[in-house]
Amino acid sequence: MYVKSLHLTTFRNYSDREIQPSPGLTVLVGPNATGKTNVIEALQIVTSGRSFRRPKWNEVVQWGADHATLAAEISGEGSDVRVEIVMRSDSSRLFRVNGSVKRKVSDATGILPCVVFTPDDLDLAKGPAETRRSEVDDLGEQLSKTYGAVRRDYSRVVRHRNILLREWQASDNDLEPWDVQVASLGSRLLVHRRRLLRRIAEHATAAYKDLSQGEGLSVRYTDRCGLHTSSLDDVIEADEAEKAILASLESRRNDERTRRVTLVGPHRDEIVFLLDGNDARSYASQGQQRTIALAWKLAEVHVVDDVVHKKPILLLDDVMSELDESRRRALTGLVQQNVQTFVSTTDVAHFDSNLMNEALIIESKER
Amino acid sequence: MSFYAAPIARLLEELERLPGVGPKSAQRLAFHILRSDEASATRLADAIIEVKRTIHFCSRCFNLAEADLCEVCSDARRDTHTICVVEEPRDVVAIERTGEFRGVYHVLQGAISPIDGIGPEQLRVRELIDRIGTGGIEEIIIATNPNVEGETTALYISRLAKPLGVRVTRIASGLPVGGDLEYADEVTLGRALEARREM
Repeated sequence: MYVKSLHLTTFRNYSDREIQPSPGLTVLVGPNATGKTNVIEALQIVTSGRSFRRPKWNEVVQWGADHATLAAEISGEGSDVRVEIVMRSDSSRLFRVNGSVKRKVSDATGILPCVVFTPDDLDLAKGPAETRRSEVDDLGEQLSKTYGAVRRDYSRVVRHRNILLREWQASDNDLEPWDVQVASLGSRLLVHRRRLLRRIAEHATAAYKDLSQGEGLSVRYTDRCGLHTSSLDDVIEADEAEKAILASLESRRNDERTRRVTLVGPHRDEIVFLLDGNDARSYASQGQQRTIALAWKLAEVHVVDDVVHKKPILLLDDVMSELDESRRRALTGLVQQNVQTFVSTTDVAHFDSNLMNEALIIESKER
Repeated sequence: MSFYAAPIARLLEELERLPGVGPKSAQRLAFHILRSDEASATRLADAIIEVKRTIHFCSRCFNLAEADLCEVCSDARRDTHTICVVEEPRDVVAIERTGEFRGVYHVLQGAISPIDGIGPEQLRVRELIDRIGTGGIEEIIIATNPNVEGETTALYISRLAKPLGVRVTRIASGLPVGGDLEYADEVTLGRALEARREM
């Protein structure tokens, strides 16, 4: 599957632009601030419903217009699918698949999964734990609607519960039903996340080995659910996790009251990268961190293929200049494995000429 | 600045306050009213005023009612041993339509939602517990929505009601009865799978 065409209407700096990408490699070339990243963002929105820039949806609407439209023609097995997402100036969105209106974002997305790699992702290893958790959960949401629904419901429960703790000085009676929900949804999120992370970690370890010849990468998952585990090899069942969360909530109640926030549950869990057994947050050099990020993204591509038997599209926003020759090749090499790839860059010198000969080059000009 | 004469601007302003009505819909409605004859405009105005003057909440179950008690509570043929607990009056209508339920209702007027500043005290929970306390109730069926807030409300009520010696049940959520698996969305199907029972 691949994106056959993309139409942007009053979306950010594009008034009306149609792009017909290559099924292989498409390179968007141009100086800064000409809208290359806007195309990458548009592709992510139209395939996954999300944007790595995390805008409010009215922010993508061109000034003076009352809505922005992204329409993609996705070539599938056999028939083509047309996905349309309208973002309005009141921040609401409308979704259409083959012309018929869909109520939920999840009904219009995930048809063709995508993996995005931006300069911000280079901090994956060292950044806050939240970044690594959402990295896993964002992928999970694309691969399974149940994963997405559990994640959304769980984070809503935590928000409700935090308000109870922070503003209402809630009684045990008031907290109790929310505890039950934290445990039942939290345990399911934990199981989903660990299962997916284990797959990613397996591929990332292999990819890291290929890229680095030397240190070995491993991934640890330290839970804050009272399970006291950090190995992804431990098999944890949802009902076991549910009991552990409930017990932890009870034993940490006073702590939670003092700090006025929910301290137990998968929203506090830690994902840690280790290089030869050393914590990458303090130990890894900048080069090693970048290799971890790269290995992770390569792993995501393989996991999508494993889980839903589809090749995702790969969106590389301005990361080529941040990587050296061999690492760039590892990324663009996926084109040969039928992964439709989009790259934005200010300088085509970052690519070898053989590759460029086969690529579709789209130049964006100074405005 | 408004381009309309003051009375029209006022009507537009009022219409725009209605849920789901934006500036464009308000305009469409206002011009429809302007074009229609005076009698139908009066009928609309009267209907709005009448509904406000005559409809209030049933003193027993807090459903919408014209008299002191709503139609369900004042119907002697209803089984008063079973109470179905719902969030809104429109949920009563939905369940009545099924024709499956012969008991009475209790309308909470919402669901617990701290984000929106709604706790049990803002709902008709106390009144429900009082109703159970007066005796004669054998079962309460909790039919709040199958979302985070509805589930929490159901849990909260069940903890209060169970010690009073009534049977507390929750309507099953998952696959719609008579619906084909094929047409169930994945989330529903996923939930139904997770909540599967031994047979």
